[in-house]
Amino acid sequence: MLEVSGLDVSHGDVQVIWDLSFSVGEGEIVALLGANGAGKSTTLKTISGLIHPSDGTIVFNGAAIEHLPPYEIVGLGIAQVPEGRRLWPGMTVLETLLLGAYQSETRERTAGLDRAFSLFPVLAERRRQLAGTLSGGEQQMLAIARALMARPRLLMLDEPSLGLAPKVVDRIFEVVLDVSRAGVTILLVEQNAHLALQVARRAYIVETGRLAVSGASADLLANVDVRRAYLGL
Amino acid sequence: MTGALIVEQLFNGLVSGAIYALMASGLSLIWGTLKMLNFAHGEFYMLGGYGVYLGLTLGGLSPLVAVPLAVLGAALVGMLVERLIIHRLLDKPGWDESPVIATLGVSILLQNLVLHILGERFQNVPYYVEGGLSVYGMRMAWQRVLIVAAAIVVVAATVAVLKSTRWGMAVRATAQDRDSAMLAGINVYAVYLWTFGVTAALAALAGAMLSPIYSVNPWMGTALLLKAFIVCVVGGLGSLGGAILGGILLGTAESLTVLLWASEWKDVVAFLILILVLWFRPAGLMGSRQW
Amino acid sequence: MREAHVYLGVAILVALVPLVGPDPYTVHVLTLCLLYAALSSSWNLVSGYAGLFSFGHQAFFGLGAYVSALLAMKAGVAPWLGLVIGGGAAGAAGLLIALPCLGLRAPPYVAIATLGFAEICRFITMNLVGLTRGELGLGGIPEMPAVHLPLFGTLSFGARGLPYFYLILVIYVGVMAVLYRLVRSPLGLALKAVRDSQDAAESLGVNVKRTKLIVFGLSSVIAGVTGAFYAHYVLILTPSSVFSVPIMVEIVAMTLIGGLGTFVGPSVGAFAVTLLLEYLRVLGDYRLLIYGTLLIVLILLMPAGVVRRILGQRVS
Repeated sequence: MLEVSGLDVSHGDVQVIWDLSFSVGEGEIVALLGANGAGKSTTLKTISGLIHPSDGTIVFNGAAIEHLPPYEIVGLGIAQVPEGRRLWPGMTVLETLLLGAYQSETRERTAGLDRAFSLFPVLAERRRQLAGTLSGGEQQMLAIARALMARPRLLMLDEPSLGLAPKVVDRIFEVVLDVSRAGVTILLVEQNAHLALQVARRAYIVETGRLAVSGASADLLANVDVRRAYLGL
Repeated sequence: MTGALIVEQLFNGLVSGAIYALMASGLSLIWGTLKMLNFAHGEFYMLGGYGVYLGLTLGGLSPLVAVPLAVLGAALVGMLVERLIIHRLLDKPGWDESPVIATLGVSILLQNLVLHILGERFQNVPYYVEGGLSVYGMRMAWQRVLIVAAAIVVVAATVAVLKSTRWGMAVRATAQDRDSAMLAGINVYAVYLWTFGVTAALAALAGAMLSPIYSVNPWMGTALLLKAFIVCVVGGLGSLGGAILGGILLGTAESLTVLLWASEWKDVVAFLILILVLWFRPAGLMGSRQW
Repeated sequence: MREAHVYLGVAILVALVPLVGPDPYTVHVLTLCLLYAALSSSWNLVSGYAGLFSFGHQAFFGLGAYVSALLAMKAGVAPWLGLVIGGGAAGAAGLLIALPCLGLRAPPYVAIATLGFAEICRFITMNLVGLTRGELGLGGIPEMPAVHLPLFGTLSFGARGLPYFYLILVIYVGVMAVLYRLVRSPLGLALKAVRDSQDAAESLGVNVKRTKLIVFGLSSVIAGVTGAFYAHYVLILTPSSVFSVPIMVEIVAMTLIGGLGTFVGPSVGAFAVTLLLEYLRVLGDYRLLIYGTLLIVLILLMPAGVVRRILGQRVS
């Protein structure tokens, strides 16, 4: 479904991604792991079109997307939940969700709202509240719900567990599994490798912008060297 | 000093305030979405004035046709400036400062273009409506009443559009977090383009409405731009409510200065208010509240 | 130190120019170039190095000019002393306006607050007709008195002559020497830290407020000295010739086209824009039209300035 090959990305003069290749199959949950600053977020931003690569290709369902602007990529069915949630602080919950379905027809938007509220009932209660006034966990739920409003076929989550209490993290990951069961493919970026490998079937580990190891989650977890060198487990 | 005189002066302050609010809300919108200062904003005001002058005196049009045409023309120029210049500077190194020079260049270019084509003579524009309102000995020209009414309607409409239409929400989202807006599928470049168009239209409307009271000339936008910047900062840059509040505050302060002191000191008072407000409320009266 | 030698060499070359072709107009244009180079460099110190995007630098230029001119005319103070007092007065005003500006974080607030201050200065000068004659113009400002130099003999400052060129060259070299030392001093390093991240600099123990105050004061002093020079050079002042926004526009254009936050950028830009504006005079009415267009084209081609374009992004 998503095929990334030979990706090079630079921030100004500094190259941060080197010859990165990986793929995500239809219906899979794949994790992208690595230390802080390894280039995981940059990779997601490049797939979303916020950054354009200096070299390499990104193919989504047979179409090259590496030079498309973000709003066209969203239209093709890729949505991202950005790191730190990045909600609009002055928008209400309802407005945020409606904006998530910016490109959809009115009827689809209403249906999307129903889905979002049934997935996260707390958002329905807080629909008139400003996004900036929600708790951390509620904000993360809103960020995921916003991304789902675009009815993506591929959902990319950047550090969804960041700064949240363990109980809230469990709830978020339950939702991720629900979404996956509903047929949405998921690319998950996490620093919390243990957690990520529990939900993902396969994982890629990046180190300073290069692919270090990849494989099935079970194999990675079973490999003592990998655990020690990359996963901190 | 009679009561009627005071009320008349206060009303004149309200007229200036309405114009300031129109100009400042445009500057604030541009700052909110693009995070840049538009030094060519005064020239859209000038274009609005000249558009009406051409439509009324040369084209023989009715103000009902000339004003919308002038506003539309200025909006198109604004969109052209965005697409040809600002768009190409976006996200490039130096973006924090490069729009300053680019818009100053546009300002110099437009002033001298108009100077070249239409000459440096101050041109008079006839009043749209003759006569005025007379209440208890106070005289208010209909033209001035019209300015205040138009400003109220247009600013209220702008706020309503921003608050409740799909496009308005896209503008607000872009202002609050540009990357998130892009990830939600909003074409922020289209938002920038239309924001330039709308703000140019607001400035042109101010110029079109005010030109019968002052005459039009190629430099008419310069002094007003400085005032509009002050209003923005006094109200809180990026805040629409601040632009309105700041505009009325400044207009009133100026007319009170004229009333109590002398008209040549009204600009000094205006700039002093600016410095005092910044000293005590560094973020402006309304702060950078989200809209 | 090699870099400093290059600058010195360039300065000596410039000093020799009038000897090759002492045509008064060329000398006048070069004098203006150096004046603007000093003025833009001082603005660059505040905006490029300290990150305070001031839009009111003309206030300090104008204050220096009027203070020195009025002292010479009304109190008989020697213009040489006027350069110093004009600079000092501008510096004091700079500190006064810098204080409220330091609390402002968003760059446009600083720009507009300083612009407001400059406009206050312009209007006050315009309105105090009894003292300044307002827009009628303050004429009859004395020239710089003759000086006796041991090797050269007596240097008398005729109308806009060569001695003025050498005086502004000395001022310019002095300004650049001070800036050169400053940028490389601990204060300069602190500035760089502040520019990169105000919070990080604060956590490193840099007194951000004090650093910015010193820099703003110094920059205003330089602008005041150039203003005082200007007063005794053109011999007539009007509020709109020294306090007005177009001067600020030129300073900004010069610095940004040359390269904001680079050492030589403002000088390069000052020469380019001054020569451009002077030699575009042959175009008559089209001059400003071309000027505006060129500003747009230049910034589109080189959004980060000429110097960075030629020497790469890493210059600072």
